[in-house]
Order: sequence, then C-alpha cells, then structure tokens
Amino acid sequence: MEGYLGIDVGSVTTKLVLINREAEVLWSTYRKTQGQPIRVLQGALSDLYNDLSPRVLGVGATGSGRGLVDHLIGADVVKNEITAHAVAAIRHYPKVQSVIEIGGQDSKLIIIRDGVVVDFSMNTVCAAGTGSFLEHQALRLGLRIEELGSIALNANAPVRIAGRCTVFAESDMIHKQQMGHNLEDIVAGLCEALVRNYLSNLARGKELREPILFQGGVAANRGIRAAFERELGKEIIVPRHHNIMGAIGAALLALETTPPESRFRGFSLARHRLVSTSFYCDDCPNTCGVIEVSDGESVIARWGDNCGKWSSALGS
Amino acid sequence: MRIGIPKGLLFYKFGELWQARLRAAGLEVVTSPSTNPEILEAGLKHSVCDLCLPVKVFFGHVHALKDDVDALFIPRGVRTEPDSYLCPKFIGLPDMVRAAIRRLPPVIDTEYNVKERSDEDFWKEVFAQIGHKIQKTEEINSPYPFCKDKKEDSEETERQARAFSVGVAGRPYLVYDNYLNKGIIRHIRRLGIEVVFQTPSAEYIRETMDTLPKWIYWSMAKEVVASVRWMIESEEVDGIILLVNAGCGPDSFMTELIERTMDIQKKPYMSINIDEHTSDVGLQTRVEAFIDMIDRRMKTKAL
Repeated sequence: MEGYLGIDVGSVTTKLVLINREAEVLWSTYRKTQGQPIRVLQGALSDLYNDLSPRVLGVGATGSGRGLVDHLIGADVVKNEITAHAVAAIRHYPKVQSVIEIGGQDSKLIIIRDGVVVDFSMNTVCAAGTGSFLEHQALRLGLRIEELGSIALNANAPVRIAGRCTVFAESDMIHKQQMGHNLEDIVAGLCEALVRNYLSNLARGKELREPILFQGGVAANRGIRAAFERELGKEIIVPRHHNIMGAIGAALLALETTPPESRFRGFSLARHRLVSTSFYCDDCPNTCGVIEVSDGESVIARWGDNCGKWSSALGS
Repeated sequence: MRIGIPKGLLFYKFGELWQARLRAAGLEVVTSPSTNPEILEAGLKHSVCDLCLPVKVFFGHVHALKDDVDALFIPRGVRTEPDSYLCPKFIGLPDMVRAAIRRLPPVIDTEYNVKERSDEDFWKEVFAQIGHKIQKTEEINSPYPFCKDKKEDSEETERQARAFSVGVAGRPYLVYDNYLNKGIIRHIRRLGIEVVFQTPSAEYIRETMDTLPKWIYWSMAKEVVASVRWMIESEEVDGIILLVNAGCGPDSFMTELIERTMDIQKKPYMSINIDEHTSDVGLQTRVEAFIDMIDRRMKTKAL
C-alpha cells in the first residue's frame, strides 16, 4: 500500500488522510487537537501505521499548525488552508463556484470561477462565528455539539440572538431562556446568528453563486446548513468528506508535486518521546518566542526566531 | 542641544527632511529605534484612550526617547496641502503626548500648515522654539524617503523569483514600519514576489478625486485612494493589497469607498486590517493564499 499523506492541524481538530494516486481516500482520521498537537499527531501516525503500514510518497501540510508538521514530520508541500480547501473542493466538484468553510477558530469564504480561486475572505481575530463559539454554547446548554443541529431543525420560531460577539450572544441567550423561550427556538436562533455573522463579515460585497459547498467541522451541523439555505435562498451542498477537506487538499497538493523523494521522516517518530519547550530570545528587542522540540537529549526541531539564529544552529 | 524625533506617523513622510534641516542648523538629532515589541508595549501602556494603533505606537517612541534628549520634535501636523487636512489625531498629537506621558523634555510643537504659512516661516518658528538662530540651508526636498526599497530587504528574496508583483497601498507609517505591519512586506518578498509601492503625484491625486462622487477630506487618505487607482490601472501590478490599521477613522471610510466605487474586480484585491492582536499565522495564511490565487490564476490564463 502506498499513498500521499495530507495533514491538517487546526486549532481545535487534527485531520490526517491518505490518498492514492487516483486521489481516492484510503484512510482518514479526525480528532481533537486538545492543545497537544504533537501528541495527537503521533497518535494518528501510529494508528495509520498499525492499520495500513503504507509507503508514504509525499506529505502535504496545512492548517494553523502546518509549520509544526513540517518541522516535526517533514512535509513536501506546506500550504495555507484556503488553497488546500479550494483544491479539494475543485477536485471533488469541478463546477463549484463558492466554498463556505467554518472550522474551530476561523471561517473562510472562497469564490471560485472556472476552477480557479478568484477571491476569498477570512474572519480576523474574533472567533464569534466559528465552531468554538457553538461548542461553548452547547456546553452551556448541557448539550453535545453533535445534537445542536437536529435540535435546531425542530424549532418553530427561532429567537433573534445577537451573534456579533460571543459575550453579547451569551447574555442574549440567557435572557431569552429566562423569558421562557424553548430550547429548540434558542438553538435555532443561535444557528441563525452565526450565519448572519458569517454573511455580514465574510460575504459582504461578494456574490455567492451555486454550486455552494459547505466544508469544515461545522458543516456537520444541519441547523447551520438550513440557516444558510434560508438566508441565501440557495442550495448548500455538504460534501461527504466535509470535515477533512483541508487534509485532502494538502494530500492533493503533495500528489500534484510528486516529490522524487519525500521529506517524510517516517512512522518511527510516533514512538519517540517528544517534548516541546519554548523560550524568549533576549538578544535583540524583537524577543522572538523560540520553540524547541527534543527527542530525549537531542533537539530535533527549533523554530519561531525571525533571524534564524536558533533554527539554523541546529544543522540537519 | 540634542533633539529627539519619534519614529512614527509623519516621520515616515518628512523624517529625512526634518533630520537634515535640524542637523544643518548645527543641532544633534537622534531618532527612536524602529518599532519593536518594547516600544509597542510602552505605547499601549501610555496611550490615553482608544486611539488607532500607529498613534499608540507613537507614544511608545516618545517614551523610548524622552530621557535621552533635551527636546522632542513633534510638529503639529495640520495641513500638508492647502485644500485638505490631516486627521485630527495629528493636529492634537503634541497635546495628547503631553497629557499622556509624564516628565517630558520640552516639546517643539510648531504648527505645520502649508495654507497659513510658508515653509520658511515654519522653520523660523521651530528654531525660535528651540532658541536657535536660523541658518540658511539649501532646499532639501525628499518626500517619502522611505519608499526606496532597502537593499538588505530585497536580498531576502531567496527562492526563485515568480513572474509577478503585488502593489501594497496604505499609509506610509503602516506600510513602511516593518514591525507595525507585522513584517508583511518581508513576508511577500520571501515568497519571491516583487512588492510595488506608489506615491502618486499631486496632479494624479486631483485627477483621482474627480473620478469619485466627492473629493476626500483627508490628505493621506487621498494619497492612499489615488495609489490604489494607479495600481488598478498599472501594468506593473498583478494584485493589490490594501493595508489598513484598526481604529483608523478615515480609512474605514476609504476601504468602503475603494471597494464600492473603484474597479477592484479588475485584479486580485485584498484589504488587511492590522491591530495589535493580529496573529502572524493568520496574516501569513491570507498573504500566502492571495499569492497562490494570483499564481494559479496566471497559470490558467497562460494555458
């Protein structure tokens, strides 16, 4: 068995896929990053090895932790999530014109025409319209995140909730609860607030033409999808692999480059005891935070310094 | 006599000229270091209220200089051209600085207002405030001295050069301050992309204003809008990035104006809003995606 490995280390979840030369998904995993990307990566690699023991022909990394993957595992392609998501979407739906992607901490809108990205937008600092926001609210209502969608679909009259800021949304939801609105209407209101927030932040001035794909972890929520369809008056397609599209895109990019020899460091890495530490370099006023990963006594990777003094001191 | 010039805001327009003029009068002139985390931190700590980021950072520059100089040079920027104004934060800058930071040396806060007084009169008053006799100096005129590409920067272009360039528009104190703009220029260059800046001429600015529903009120915003127009029309530019700093009143209007009235559909265009919380990773993601977009677009066109 051989294939191309795509790794998407996001803020909340980590995704790995293995695809063959025909771009079919042979194996995939979707797990929580839980603030420990190194350990989660090791676990996923070890599972892949136990399941298939594949020969890895190339590695593509994406997600906010793509640099980490590159330093730790060795990647042939390191790409931003927007390109990765677009590549996967176009491969699976060549006619796609818009991609809505909502992940754990960020959301994106990608506009595609004739198979080429022509415009995109991405939310900035605030996580108000994203998965973390939903998860936090689910927790507060004592629900599992998976339940939110189906509960929302049972609403009769969704309440209006301020979705611009999580702090306001939360007080607004509490207020509506105390007034006596039922759970379904509140949850549906939450979904609508998120969609309104997304559309006013990201879709402002952009034309969402069909087919519209909805990717990312939040696409599993049927309530959000329904709210998008209501708000836009258009059909929203949720791809089968919606939650691992970023990783698929990264694997496709690795396939596209077909490296003669992959930089992949091998599965044995999963068995090592890797420890990461960090320090601030005081040699200049930039005070870069330097991250260091060591395997036993030896430092295997170091990054984060602007000038390259620490990362290059490592040699090979 | 040692005069300190904080390296922020109008420094990025007139800094070289100011230094030359003061030095020619026999004064010792120092500037604060380029923006760094310490300066940003001091600026955030000393700023009076919810100001825009460059003004906050300016306070940090004042803080870095104040104990080391006999006087601070912070002219009150009112008008840099006869028919429009600078933002009120420039007009009130010396007062805000005095209100916010204690134990300051004397502040030279001469009003810079090209409608009310000549350049010569401006310097006369500057030297009167300093207590120096004016000495005739030859005309020194170098607007935007920082537009020039720095050699060391362009040498960072290690990877093979890609065949396109990106225009970066925005206020000089954001575009040319490599720490404040989160190193975005360096980052674009590292990807092998050429960065193009443009300072439009007064005539081009007037021409641009005539294409808008109404002339813009603020001088710097006029320059930004005109430079975006130039980038839209220029063959030299394949994509446009507009840098805006959070909390900038005029630019929140300008961004809308540009997006609504100008032909930005013609080229890949992206506006980036920067504040002190902007994460480097998020910024890099957007820059990389933007470059990829242009790259893939050009490849398909070439086919």
